[in-house]
Amino acid sequence: MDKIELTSLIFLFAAPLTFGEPADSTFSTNEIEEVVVMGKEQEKTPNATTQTLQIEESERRGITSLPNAIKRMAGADIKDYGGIGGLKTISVRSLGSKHTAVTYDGIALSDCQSGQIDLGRFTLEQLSQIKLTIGEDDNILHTARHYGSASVLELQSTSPDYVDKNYNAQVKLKAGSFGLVSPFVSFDHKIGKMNWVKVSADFLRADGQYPYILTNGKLKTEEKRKHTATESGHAEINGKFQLSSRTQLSAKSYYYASDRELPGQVILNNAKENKETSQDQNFFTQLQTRTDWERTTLLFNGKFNWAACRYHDEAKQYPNGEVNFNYFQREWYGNSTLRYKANDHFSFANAFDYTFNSYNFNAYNCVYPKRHSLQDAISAKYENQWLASTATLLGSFFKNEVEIGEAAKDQKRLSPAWALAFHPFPFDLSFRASYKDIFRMATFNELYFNQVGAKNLNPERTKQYNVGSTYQYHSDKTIKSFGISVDGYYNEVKDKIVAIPRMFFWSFLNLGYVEIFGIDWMSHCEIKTSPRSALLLSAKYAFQKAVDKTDKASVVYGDQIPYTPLHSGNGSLAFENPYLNLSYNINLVGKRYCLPQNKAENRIDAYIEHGITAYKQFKFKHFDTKLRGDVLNLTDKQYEVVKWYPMPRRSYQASVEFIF
Amino acid sequence: MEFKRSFRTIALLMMGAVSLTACSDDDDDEPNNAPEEKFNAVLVVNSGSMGQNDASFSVIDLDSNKVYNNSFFKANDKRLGDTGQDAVRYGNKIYIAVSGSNTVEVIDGKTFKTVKTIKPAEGYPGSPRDILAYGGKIYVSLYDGYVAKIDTASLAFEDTVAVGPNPEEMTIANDYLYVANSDGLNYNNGYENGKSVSKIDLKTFKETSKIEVLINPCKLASDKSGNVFVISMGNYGDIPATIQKIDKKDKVTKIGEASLMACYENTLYTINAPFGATTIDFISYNTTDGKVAKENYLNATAEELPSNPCGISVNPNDGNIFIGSYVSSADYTSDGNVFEYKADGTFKAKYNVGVGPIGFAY
Repeated sequence: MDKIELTSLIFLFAAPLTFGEPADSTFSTNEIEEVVVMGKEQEKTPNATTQTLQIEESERRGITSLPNAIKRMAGADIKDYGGIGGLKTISVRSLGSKHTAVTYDGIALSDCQSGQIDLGRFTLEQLSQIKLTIGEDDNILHTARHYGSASVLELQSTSPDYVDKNYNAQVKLKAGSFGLVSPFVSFDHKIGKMNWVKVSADFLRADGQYPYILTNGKLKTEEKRKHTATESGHAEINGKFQLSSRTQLSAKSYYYASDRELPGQVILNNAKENKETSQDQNFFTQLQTRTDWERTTLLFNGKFNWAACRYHDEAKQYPNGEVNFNYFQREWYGNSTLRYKANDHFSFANAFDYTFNSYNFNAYNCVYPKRHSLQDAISAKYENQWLASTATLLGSFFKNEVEIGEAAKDQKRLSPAWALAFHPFPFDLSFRASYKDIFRMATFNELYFNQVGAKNLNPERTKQYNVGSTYQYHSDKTIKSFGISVDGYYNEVKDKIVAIPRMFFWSFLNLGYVEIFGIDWMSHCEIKTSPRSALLLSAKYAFQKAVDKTDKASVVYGDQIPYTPLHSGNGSLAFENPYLNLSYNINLVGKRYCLPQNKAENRIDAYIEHGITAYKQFKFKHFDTKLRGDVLNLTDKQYEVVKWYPMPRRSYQASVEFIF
Repeated sequence: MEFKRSFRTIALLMMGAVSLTACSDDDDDEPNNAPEEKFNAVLVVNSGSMGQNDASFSVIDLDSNKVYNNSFFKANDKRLGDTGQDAVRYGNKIYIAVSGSNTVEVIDGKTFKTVKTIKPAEGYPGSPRDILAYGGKIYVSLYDGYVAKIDTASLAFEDTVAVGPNPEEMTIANDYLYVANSDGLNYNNGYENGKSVSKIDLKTFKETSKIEVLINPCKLASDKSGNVFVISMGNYGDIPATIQKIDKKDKVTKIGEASLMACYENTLYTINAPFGATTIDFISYNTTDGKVAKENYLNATAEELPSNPCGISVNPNDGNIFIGSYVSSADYTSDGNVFEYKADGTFKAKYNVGVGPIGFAY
């Protein structure tokens, strides 16, 4: 009885918000792992707006995919073109996907063509944790590129533990609605005392033909998404080697391939099946070393990345009835970072990165662009028992080249960032403030998409101001843990790169100015309901007022920018017990607009999506076995994330996993 | 039981949070549609933004200067579709070409209610672009490479003739239908097949000749005495958009540079707004000799001029000039404007319409 009142009380106190994660996972802003390389240093200081989510939490939070996991993090949104093969990108605090760097085991993933990473390509099985840092990071052992974006999403792959045997193996099979079948295998082996090698692979196929309700005014029709078949696969080999008592080497090679039919947006009165297809490949290999002396740490990172996309479309209006584009991009990357801890309080770091990108495609107006990027970040950190502060100055220089015609202009910039955190009380309450001035370079698409060109584009500049506070409570009593984290922020985007259509071409201008005011609220609570059962609650709420302030005379002045809900949030509630664990999750998104003008025709309606997960872990013979079932979009709600890309209604997934 | 109660508490609280946000603060226009009994009005097709299904139809009442936007939606409670192109009023009906949706929407001339949505059969050429009426028939150019004839009694496709590639505007002069073959999607090969205007004999509905013009012809206009004008858009790069005159003997002469035009009696009104240019030229020509009539036919202040014109038309009843414009030079997705000028070029009115007002009918 007590428990109920207590939970209700907490809800009332915390409403209309959010409950973070169980404390031993993640939400804790107080523990930092240096995921840059392999070391797992625990630093006990208050920190910047950093959140970590352990992938092993995914069942109890009803997380079904990486994009779904990211959605649970404060400040993060996912733009989702629907379906299993549809593009899924992250946007943090209304800045858009191009302002978030995504790193995989410490090195940035890149797409110099579009500037955004498709997060649908990563499977949860390959990952151990994800971490999102908004603004200045309080850890100064990073590459320079890490500082080069408004926010960083770090993906960390799993690394094995060896307890009673020198190998691990894992097999998982997932199946679900719309023809989804996805197997996963991994095997790793210990070599010597400290070294290991791991290979893993996953594959996914789906027909993806889901029914949806098309609304046109008062007319509602039952339709089916067509031309949606997807096949994709991904394999990795990872290794970690202790080269000496001071030096560790990590190596990773990655290959991804997919073959997708693209359903396109829904066109009214036109049920004609879309014919677009896309075949994508991505290969990269990366090497990292870390050497630790008493006060000094030295990192080296190197990477080669290659990506290809083959796009095909068919229509009578095309010359010879079809179009085919082949796009290729390459990247060479090298970094060295040196950190020196002068004493218990002061540490300094310098990170230097060089990146070379090249890009070409098979059309007459391809100019074969190339870019050399030099970035150097100098950071300093002060910390004591109750305060920590970091400051970084990033210098960037970009040299653009083309093989034909005139290159885009070169760019150089100095970008400062600063963060302060303190926890003055004996209990776990901390406060933080941060500032970051950063930019994103124009992508090759924006600079060179057609011969009209936009070679004079400047970088899109952002400024982020943040203040926040975290309170955490732990005990052995009924409420095992409880936490609230609130941040208020103000962002501005200057020289926003805006796309302008011109007949069949697009061009781009540095035009927009956007002001963003927001609040991120996260909470979590774990309640012991009996000696063997517990309730776990977590939730987030986001308020984002992101308005166009470009031109007072404009009809869109003061309007909320596209795809940005004023209110959004999600939450999960898990009941863990010895029989069958259950979790429920809810995702709420307010109305948005698909275009800059906030008028009824452009509105995308608010929606609430519910999901349920049941899971159980047990020994079958001598294997650890995990069973899981999910109902996605339980209430069969028809909604859209991207206008005219309807999302699936109720669907099901089930998986079985054996760990040897 | 306990579980259920707290579950409900959360669900209710969370739903409460969202329902608060559901009330509407959209900037919408007034709900009434144009009155049925009229009409001294111009009908405007707003193309919308490609892929956004936001083509719309506005009615400007020329007596009261009142605009009725979203007239199609208000009459039919459904959207017009994707990428509206052009409209023609003929008899007591209005025919609207909607290219993305691949429809010719036939609506009642007074109530704007759909009479029929004409759609090419599955597998047949489609994508309607330009539409006009002549001698009891409706002609529509199909971007897939044809001109189709629609019978106004059966409201069905009656015949097609292959032209193209990617035919755009049409005009009727000298008992022929002229259509511009743009090859507009062949930018990768410099629009190499888009160098002609097809001439179709209206009696046989057969192509009789192809007149060679500059690359990427898109716009066509003609005067009453049979002079035809074509604008070749060039390559949006080093080859500029150029007006050429086609005389009755199919002889082609270059007369100037422009990106939009409309013909009224013996005057050709043009607009030259090439991409990236800071000034817009409004030059008129004499259709008979092809010489410049006025270096600037508009007599208006900066606020009375369109900032990003996308369509021009002349009211055949009084010679007033209508220019459709995006709302600004960098905004192609918000509601645009129509500017009306008297025949002498003086500004009459500015109307707020939908996105991309490109097609006009009277």
